[in-house]
Amino acid sequence: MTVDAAQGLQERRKTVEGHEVRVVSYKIGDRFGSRVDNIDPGDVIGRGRGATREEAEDAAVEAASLRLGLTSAREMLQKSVGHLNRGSTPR
Amino acid sequence: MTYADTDSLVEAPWAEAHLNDPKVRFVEVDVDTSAYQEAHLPGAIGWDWSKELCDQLTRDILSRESLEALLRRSGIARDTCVVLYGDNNNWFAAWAFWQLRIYGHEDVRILNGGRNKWLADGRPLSDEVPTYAPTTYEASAPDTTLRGLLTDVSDAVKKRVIALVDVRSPGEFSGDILAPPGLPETCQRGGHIPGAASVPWGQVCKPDGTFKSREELEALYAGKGVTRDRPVVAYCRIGERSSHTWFVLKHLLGYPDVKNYDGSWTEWGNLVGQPIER
Repeated sequence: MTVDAAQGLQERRKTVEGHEVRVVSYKIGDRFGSRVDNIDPGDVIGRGRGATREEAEDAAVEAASLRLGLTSAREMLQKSVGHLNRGSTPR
Repeated sequence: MTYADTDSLVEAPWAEAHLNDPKVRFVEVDVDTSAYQEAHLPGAIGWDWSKELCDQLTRDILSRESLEALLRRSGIARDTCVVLYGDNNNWFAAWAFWQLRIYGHEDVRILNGGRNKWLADGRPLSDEVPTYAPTTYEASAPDTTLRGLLTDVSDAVKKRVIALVDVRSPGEFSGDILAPPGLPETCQRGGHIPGAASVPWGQVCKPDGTFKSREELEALYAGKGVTRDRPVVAYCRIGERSSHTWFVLKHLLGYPDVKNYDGSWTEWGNLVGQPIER
């Protein structure tokens, strides 16, 4: 059964956990959907659904921020290890 | 100039006109089926890359038997026209395409622009999960000429007669990052395979996700020394982005000898005793 077509597809960029991402959202039927990708290379790293566009985008961004937070933590850890290996204190 | 293999790519209007064609099976392929569950092309089935298109126990492509089981329960016969599409700009659809070609399915096609363009164009969608009568599909023996293995790449590094194409992002190629933002690191070292040319996958697409013209694609690869007179091996991090590039080189440009190295950087970047470049 055809439920509908996607309507009002919108795209914008924002920074999440220090990384620029692309947020896409649209309406299908009476619900909104959203996905977030990491732009380069373009992996989808968060998806969300909701009764409003904002709700769907928030859910997708939240999912993406959890994954990007791990990336940021890993980068910080590697930086710290690098400093330790060079005998200096990270700033 | 049209693409070399015009039967391997379909445009959205063709797909919409064949949504009810019993000889055509649409399959949405992604890393999981969350997007499929939201909505998909009416009549399409969904394949989960991580569960249905990889052998996670042996880290391998599907065995012939597993692929047959997948196609049988999907209601796909040897003469079915299989149209693959998905999110992530068709990366995982291209992976499925590559495996279907390995096991000899003749009529398999990619929907140009994938899921994103279908949504953007406002074409019909459904949330109904269809069921189809199972088939007795029997696959061919695998065509090993389409798959790059570690030995192929080691030879390429030593002899430099094979063109290696690294389709990852510039940051991954240079070794500045070990994985794209938000994805798990799967290797010990950052960098690239010695001698590889950097041609990020996205350079083959227009902003709407559809493929650039054949002339543009030929100029892109020729400018990087990736020409049809040399064997080519494409790789990325886990082999899905490079299956997209494999599709471009093999089917859109008609290069005669192209392999997808699905071991990719996850394998090479972890090898003991193998060189890398940064």
